[in-house]
Order: sequence, then structure tokens, then C-alpha cells
Amino acid sequence: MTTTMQQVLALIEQALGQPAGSLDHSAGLDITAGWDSLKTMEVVLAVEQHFATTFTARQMMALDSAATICAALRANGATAPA
Amino acid sequence: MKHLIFAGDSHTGVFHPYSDDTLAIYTRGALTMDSFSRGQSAAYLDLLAFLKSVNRHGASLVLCLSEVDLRAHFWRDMPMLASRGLSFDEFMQERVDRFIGRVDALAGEVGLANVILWGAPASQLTKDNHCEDLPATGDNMTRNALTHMLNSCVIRSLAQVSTVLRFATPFYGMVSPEMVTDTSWLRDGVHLKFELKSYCLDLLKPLVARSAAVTFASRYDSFKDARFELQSLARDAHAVGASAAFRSWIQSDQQPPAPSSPRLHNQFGEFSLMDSPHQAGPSQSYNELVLRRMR
Repeated sequence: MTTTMQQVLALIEQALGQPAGSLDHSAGLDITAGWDSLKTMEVVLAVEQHFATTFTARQMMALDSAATICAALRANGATAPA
Repeated sequence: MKHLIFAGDSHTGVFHPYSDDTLAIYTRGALTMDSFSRGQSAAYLDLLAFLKSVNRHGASLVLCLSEVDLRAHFWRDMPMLASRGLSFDEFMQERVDRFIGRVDALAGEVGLANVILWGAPASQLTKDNHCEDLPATGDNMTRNALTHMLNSCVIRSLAQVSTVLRFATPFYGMVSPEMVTDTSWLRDGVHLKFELKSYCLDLLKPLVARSAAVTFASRYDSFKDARFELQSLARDAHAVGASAAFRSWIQSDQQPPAPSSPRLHNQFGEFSLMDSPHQAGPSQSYNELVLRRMR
């Protein structure tokens, strides 16, 4: 079973076209190559779909790293699918 | 005495070449207000390092940012966030507050006593799409409406906080009451003509002298109380042109777009963010989300 962070990182890697397992928990906008604000929306929508959750507009404005995405998922009570 | 430092995106270009009072010009291509607002971004750190490297004692920094945000980013995000309950005004104010907070922090860190935010010019016409990486998003009138909303938020914020920041913009001289860009002000469809340098410096003068907090081109008064509303506008694909590759929110009830396209549902129906109206399908007409001035 993978953790929420691992699944979020996998979705980010997929959106950014990065090799699987190449990112760690520090991944974020401006830090991770290829992750710009244009990619953020793609990442966020993929996370919503994967975790079957919906972020509020306020949450979406603050999602700029793997850590903030995981925190928002926790706040929504969303758990990693098996 | 050389006392002006210009920094920001390609819209610093109108201040070239160096004048007698120009201390330095720092230009970084597609620098955005949004990236600058994030204190650990390369955009911010590079500008910080540059400012620390120049003799800035007693200088005024003129910061040219926001055109890329207004052209490529804001209209990508705003309709989606609005469909989730956030008003356009809230979106814009949040962006402006973050930006002004970051500029204030920069001024404190570097020791600048005067920072002038230079507003974006009116936006390019939709058919003039120069940048594939950062395509124009939304139509010309929508992007100009966003520019006015941004200007209004900046002016409101500066009036409310004690700060070394000031604001100038040529925008109101080059946009019609309907929010259409007067392209005679632009040299390449996007940037101000070099001949406007003196005019722009005149806008800056009262701010450099610190005798005013805001200056803008004439006709601002006819815009200051403008309100805007979201509309779903019927378009004719032939009229737009088959080669038009602007990004916009296109109604997609009948013609589902690619699965990866961002989408939203609002009072007008289902919309998807598309790179061309022709992505909507074979139909010759389509509906597009736009911002229009309320009458």
C-alpha cells in the first residue's frame, strides 16, 4: 500500500512528465523542474480525480507543493485509494 | 544624478536606452507577478541579488510586472475558482495583497525608500499571439477588464497601507471605453512603442519626486467605477479565424474536449479550457466565457 504523499508525487511526476520515483516530498512550484503555474492546475485536477475529492477555491489558490496538496487532502478527509 | 532602476519583464523595454538618470535596467523575459510573490522563487531571489549589486542609495525602483499574469494566467484560473465560489474581486485582491506584501519585503530587505509599480499596458489583440509558451487566455476585452480590476486593487491597497510603494500606468490612455486596445500605442502588438518613453517618464516624475502616490493616463475617471460581469458570448468560428490559437473557456456541452482539459460548470453550462475554438468540434459557432463592462 502506498501513502498519500507517494500517490501525490506519482501524480505530479505524471503531470510533469518526470520519471517515476524521481521526486520527493520537497517537490513544489519553482523548486521542481517543469512545475510552473501553468502545470499547477493540471496537477490539482489530477489529484482531485484520483482522491475523489474537491478542493475549495481558497484551497486551490494555496496548492503549490506536494506538502500543501497532502495537507489539503488531510483537511478534506481524503485518503489514499488502495 | 542617476536615480532610476527599472526591473521586471520585457515591458522594461520602453525605458531603453539608458537616460542620464537611469542607474540600471534589469529585464527578465517572462517574469510574473505571481512568481515574484513567492519569496523563494528564482524570480524573486535573482532580482534581490541584482538590487543588492547596484548602488541603490536614494534610488527609485520602477517594477514592471503583471503583463504575463494578465495575458496568460488569470483568466485560466479565475472562471474555475469562481465556479467554486470565489469572486473575481477576491481572487484579484488576494493576488495583489501577496504581491504588494512581497514588494514591501523586498524594499525593506534592500533598503529602498521608493518603489513604483509600473502597470501593464492594454493587452494584445487576440489574433496577435506572439508567445506559444504563454498564450493569450481570454479575449482582448476580457484581459483589459482584468487589467483594470488589477489596477483598482493596487490603488485600493496602496491607499490603505503605509508603504513606500507608488503606482503608475499608461493603460487608460490606450483602451477604449469598451475595453478594446488601441494598438497604435504598441510597437509589436504587445509592447509600448519606444517613442512613448518621454510620456512614460512624465507619468513617473511625480512619483519619483514623491509628490503623488498614483499617476495614470487621462480618462481614468471614466473607468474608475466600472463593474464587470461574466457572459457567455456566441462566436462564429469563421470570424475568429481558423489559425487563431488563443486559449479560452469554450462551452463544451455538446462537444466534449480532451480529458485532460480543465473544465468547469457555471450558470451558463459546461466549459473547458481549450487552446483553440476549433477544439470544440466541427461546429462553426461556439460560446466563450468573457468579462464585459456592465452598462
